[in-house]
Amino acid sequence: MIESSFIDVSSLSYTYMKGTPYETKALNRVDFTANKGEIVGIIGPTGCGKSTLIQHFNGLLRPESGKVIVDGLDLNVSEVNLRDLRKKVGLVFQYPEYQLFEETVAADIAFGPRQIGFAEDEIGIRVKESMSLMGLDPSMADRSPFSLSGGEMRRVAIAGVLAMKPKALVLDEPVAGLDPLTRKKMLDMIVNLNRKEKITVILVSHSMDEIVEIASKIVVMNEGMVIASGNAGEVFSNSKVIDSARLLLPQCTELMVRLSELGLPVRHDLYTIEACTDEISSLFK
Amino acid sequence: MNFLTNITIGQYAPGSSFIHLLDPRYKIVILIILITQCFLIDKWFLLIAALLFFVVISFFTGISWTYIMKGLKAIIPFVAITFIFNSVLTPGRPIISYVYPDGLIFGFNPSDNVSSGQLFSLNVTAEGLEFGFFMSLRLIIIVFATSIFTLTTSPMEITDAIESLLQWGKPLRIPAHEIAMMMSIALRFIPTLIEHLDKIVRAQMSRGADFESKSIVTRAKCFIPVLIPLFVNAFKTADDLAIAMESRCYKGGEGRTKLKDMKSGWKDVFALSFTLVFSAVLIFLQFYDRVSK
Repeated sequence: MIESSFIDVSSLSYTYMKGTPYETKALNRVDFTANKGEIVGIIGPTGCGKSTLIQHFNGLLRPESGKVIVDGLDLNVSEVNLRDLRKKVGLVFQYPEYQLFEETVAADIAFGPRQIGFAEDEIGIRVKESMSLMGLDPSMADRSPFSLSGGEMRRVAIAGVLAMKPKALVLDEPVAGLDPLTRKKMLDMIVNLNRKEKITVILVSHSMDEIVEIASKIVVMNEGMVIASGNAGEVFSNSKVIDSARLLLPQCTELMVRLSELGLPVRHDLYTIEACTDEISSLFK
Repeated sequence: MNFLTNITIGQYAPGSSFIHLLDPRYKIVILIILITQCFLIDKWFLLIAALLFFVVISFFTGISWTYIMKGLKAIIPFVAITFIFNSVLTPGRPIISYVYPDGLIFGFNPSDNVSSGQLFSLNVTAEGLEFGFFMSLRLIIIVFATSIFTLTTSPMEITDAIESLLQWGKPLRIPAHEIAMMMSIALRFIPTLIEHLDKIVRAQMSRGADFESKSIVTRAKCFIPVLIPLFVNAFKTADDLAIAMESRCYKGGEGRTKLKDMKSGWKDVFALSFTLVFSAVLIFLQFYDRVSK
């Protein structure tokens, strides 16, 4: 095992509702690695096993067969300390705003750190810290979470996980249903967490654009299997993978492909908006 | 942590067996007849016959035996409690007694001379054992029969059938459509709520909530972070549903048509007649000796 890997999954399989007519194989011999300090994007169509995979990272699901090692903790060992594990890996589910329950924003954010047993004065500091990390105004602390807008609620929910000071943050569709501006802010905040707080980020999505924008490594899943992994260039150059996982190229790449089909001398292996802008403007020089 | 999705008792298992394809209205009537019959008979061989009848029927559903049994396992505690309570609490001839402070006594006879300072006694009586056995057997048969019904009939079919059967109650001003609509909405949202519940439980577990703690207090405290989001969610869903129904001009049962009309044929008539004959035979055997005397 490489020293720097934080989450290491090998040959992991998982079946839901075993022994019933509803039995479905959610994961089929999945290999996955996330190194310390990386942003890894997991992408794939609905029902491809993304959510099942990430629930193994903090022990919500235990490996049925195969191995899961998180920061040196072997999850196949039955007496693994789940509290320790959940301190290390913060998992934010899709639409996390539905998990808020406290009377005030501050109390809700304090729930996680209190559960894992931090001292009261430290909890106060952590609540403030994570609120500012998620760009929440300190004046919000005493408001009811149910009076906030959808985007704010989601940031409160993520702050609630950040307050536990995880080494890795796993986000399931963190920008689903947000307006474009909030979406951009959210992605910036995630990148910020990675750069400044050195948090390993695993981002699950079914939209190529946001994954390409921030992830350094991309894992493509389909029907419970990992069908490709690597950087954007390695993944997108394989059109078979893109087609079989029913994915769309990032919009800017799609544009470059169309332009080159029209006979313009542009590269079409560019995946970020910046790179594409540069390439197009170079045409006019 | 998959306990919520593992509840299989009575969950519809799609299929196309003879039992699946019966008209749900007939199935309800058949179920009522068979359950009533179970309470009319109290001879052990007749109850066993009734149980065997359902075992045979369950083979015609095409549903795996292990799946049916998995659902039935859930009632074992209820059967055990029924049996124990009946055998201890029914008055009659004691077979085993526990008398404080003398201890266990077998074949205890009340006229026996036991210590006069007896404070407390529990008697397992012969009548109690018999009655407990019958009640447990009836309970098993009823749950078995009902789960065969719900395993082979989708919730929508059940509510449609109930609505249709309740039409007979129109002179009594029974709001058949409204009852059926409430039932189908309730049934429809059970899986949705379970799904939400499951998700919220997982989210709160990720935030350190300890549902597997040995301390009951710790576990009980974890229910607030689960129940509040669940209720908030349920009200929101109810609101959305109301708007969706109104925007599609829902105005009650008047003039509403169905996607699938229920049709009955010779198969249903056959099943009903077969049930009637079977029940008649059992009930005849039950009262036969009384009649002949």
